[in-house]
Amino acid sequence: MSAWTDLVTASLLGTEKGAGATLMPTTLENALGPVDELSTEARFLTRAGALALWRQAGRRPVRGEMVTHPPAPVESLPLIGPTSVAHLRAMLDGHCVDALPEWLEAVARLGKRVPPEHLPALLEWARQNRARRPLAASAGGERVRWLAARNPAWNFAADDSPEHWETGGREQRVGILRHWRATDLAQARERLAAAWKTESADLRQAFLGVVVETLGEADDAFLETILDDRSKEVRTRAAELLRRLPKSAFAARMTARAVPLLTFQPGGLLRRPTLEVQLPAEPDAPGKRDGLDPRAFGLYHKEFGDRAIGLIQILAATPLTHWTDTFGQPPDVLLKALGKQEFAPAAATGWALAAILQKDPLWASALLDGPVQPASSFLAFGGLFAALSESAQIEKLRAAARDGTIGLDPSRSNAAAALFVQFASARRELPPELSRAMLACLRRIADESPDGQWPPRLDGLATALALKMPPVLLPEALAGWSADKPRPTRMIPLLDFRREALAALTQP
Amino acid sequence: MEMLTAPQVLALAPDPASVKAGQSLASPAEWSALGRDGRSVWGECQGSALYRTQADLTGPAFHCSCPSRKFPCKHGLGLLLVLANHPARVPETATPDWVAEWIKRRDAGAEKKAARPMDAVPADPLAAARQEAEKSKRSARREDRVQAGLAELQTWLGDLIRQGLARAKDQPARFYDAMAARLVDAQAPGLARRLRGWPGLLASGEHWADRVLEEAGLVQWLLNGAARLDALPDGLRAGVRAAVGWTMTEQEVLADPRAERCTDRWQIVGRRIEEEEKLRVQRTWLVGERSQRAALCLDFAAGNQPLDVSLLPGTAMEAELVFYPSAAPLRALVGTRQKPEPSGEPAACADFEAAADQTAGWLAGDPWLERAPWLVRGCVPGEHGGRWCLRDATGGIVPLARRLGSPWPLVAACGGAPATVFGECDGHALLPLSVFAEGRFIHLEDGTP
Repeated sequence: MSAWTDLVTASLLGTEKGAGATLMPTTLENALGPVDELSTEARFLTRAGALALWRQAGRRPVRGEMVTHPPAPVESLPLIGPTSVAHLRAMLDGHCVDALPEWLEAVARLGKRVPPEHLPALLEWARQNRARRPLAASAGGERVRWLAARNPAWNFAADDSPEHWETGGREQRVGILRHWRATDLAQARERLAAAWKTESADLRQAFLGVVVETLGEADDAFLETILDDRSKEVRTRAAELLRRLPKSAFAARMTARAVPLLTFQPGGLLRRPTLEVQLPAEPDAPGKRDGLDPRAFGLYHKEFGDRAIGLIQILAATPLTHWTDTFGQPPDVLLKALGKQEFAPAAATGWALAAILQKDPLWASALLDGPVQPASSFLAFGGLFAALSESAQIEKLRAAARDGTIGLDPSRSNAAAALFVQFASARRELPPELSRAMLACLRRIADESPDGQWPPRLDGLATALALKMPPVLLPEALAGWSADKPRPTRMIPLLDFRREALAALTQP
Repeated sequence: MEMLTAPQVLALAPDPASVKAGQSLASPAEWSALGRDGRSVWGECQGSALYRTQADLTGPAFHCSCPSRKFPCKHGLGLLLVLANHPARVPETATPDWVAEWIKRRDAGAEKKAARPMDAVPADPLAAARQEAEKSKRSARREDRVQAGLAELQTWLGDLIRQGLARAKDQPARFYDAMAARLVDAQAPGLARRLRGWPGLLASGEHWADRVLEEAGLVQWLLNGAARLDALPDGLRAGVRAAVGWTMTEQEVLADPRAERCTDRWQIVGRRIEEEEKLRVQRTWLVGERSQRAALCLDFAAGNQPLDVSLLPGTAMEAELVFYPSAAPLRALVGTRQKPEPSGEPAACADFEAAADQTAGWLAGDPWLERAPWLVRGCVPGEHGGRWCLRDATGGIVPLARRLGSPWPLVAACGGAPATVFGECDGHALLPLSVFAEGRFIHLEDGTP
């Protein structure tokens, strides 16, 4: 349509640059009627307006190739109800979003699914944190896998059927490996070993992260080969996994290194039992291959020195049952037998690392209450506590709630409060008696609060409690607060929201 | 008693902060002494003090003893959310005095308002004549002011096109805003709004000159029309007046004998809320089941005022719509109406071609129509030339408006299968507002709660 193009060119230059009369289609010119009384500019624009309108009214959809999507599989699960959709939207908008993981789990458990139009927001939420990913993927029916395959950012939730093993994205392949490890361990090992050499170091690390979830003695042989991997990070990670396998060849080698280091003298009538500690030599080549490295703990090695670090590493990788079996003594006796010798703390630290990794409640308990303290900077916070038996953990937390350890004094309270949060986060639901003890503790803190303010420091604890206590306890959570005292602001609404949202899901 | 759903309640919130604050009070545990009767709902909420909150559901209207100046306050929103989500926790009980008194005061106020007619004609004929003369003098003054503003715009536009669009592109945004501000002063807000869109058109990338020239031509047409308003046929005159920005009050529309009325079962097929110059504008689109007519209801809310929430997308109601006078009537008011119910899938155009034909018809009556309603079945989203588009059953392709935040909710809802899509077409691209897929109506969120 050249009349329009001419007009556009003329308009760019300006009518003063001699843009002449534009040739218009006659029918259009006639339809315009007389325009002579208008100024040159107005006449020009009137014609432009006519053509513009003509173009607009005649505008038609274009034709051509378009990249569309294959049809999504038919859904078999019913959608959640409108009230639940409102709950989901509230959470995705940031209201009580902490309750979303539990809610998604319930959606999947009840065999329902989230309506497709909310899946993009859900996948965006899931993308930010790996722990959220399987939750989002399991609550979206067939559509969520279909949708995730359309957008590379979401491929963590894409179809984990095996045909994508060789072609899929990082998260997709991690998902497929996880699926195999859950259903057919032998096949999973075979496929992983076959693909291993050609994968990137990042992906090899990610695969080991999946293996550790379902680690078993049968992984020994494969992990042993990884000790010779090209990447140092991957080698270190493999050694870390092997330390969890007490029957492995790796454990046997470590035990052999450990045996000469500790010498036990049983006690007698006038003699206390003693356990003499010797430091190992610098690691030889096979030792280095097994991950022995004085720099493994970074800056913290200064606390002990290179050879003591070697002691810690060897003890950390030796099965704890070796000591109790060989010396015929329980852990508390062995700890006591270390006495006050220089390297007693290093030995206790090695044992503590072993107790955490091997989840040995007896050793954990002895180390927590024992006469020799392991160096805390070498241990993850709460590690030994988490290795205790569940009943022991609950008992300790209840005691901390009861005796005022958790309270207004930060120096006494912070660590215990953090242990509670850790305990709660690792569980689906808190036992009722612990929930009640913690509620009583919070009410007492509110009553004791000197300035009428709820200490924000304890908000995390209150939130963890609201998230994991049984929702049926809501009436108890509501009762007993003094009217003129502060209370944790988010706790009750969160608990109430959970109760309502979970109940709404079970309604047809 | 008409109960609002949670999304309807949240739509009442004056701002996003209020949505959040209201949701934090949406749990019955935050409330005591909750109750309702056939008309109102009430409760007490412990904030810095104990606040008494009440709502009259016929409005909805709110009253709260808290000091917030937001309207409705978070307590009002929270209270209605409790009622929407947990109706069983709000028992029907006897109305307490503090609620009954407020309702009484409201009713008394409403009666007073009703007793005062819009334009009371004084009994004294002399005074009546004086009042009539005053009124026409007022409107003549306004006409003069508008015409003066339009004359100024004509000069400005003439200068602009004489010097060329290439130079106009170099002008800062305030050059256009200043002209827009003068048009606001001249009481031509419709033209002012168009002018404010110019910096965006000038910066719109490839083919920007085409878009600016189109717009300049249409503004020129508007000036031509306004210059000879009296010579225009009724419908077109109304169209020019509306586009310039002479507003009609609802009463004027309802009283206008030329205003078209249409009784039908109206399906509410789409809604979008946009911010315009400190004003929230809610555009709600309706389609008549029997008449197949489209209608647009506009609602404006300044500052903290709530928007009308009675037209909920995905519902349908028997109602009489009164259309604003125009040669291509789309904008309408809802007159008498009945209770809304869930709606089915509306009858839609078979393809984009048909929708474009319909749009051409509207443009013939109203050249200044900016967004036409498109309701087309058999649409599939996909990518064409690096841009998200919709394709109809015949292979016609229309790009999706860039203003659409994310195409993914639409893609997810369609699931690769053809679906009926409703949206606004601005002549270049389609902004989808809702989808009918797998037997469900899906309102695509516009980000504004």
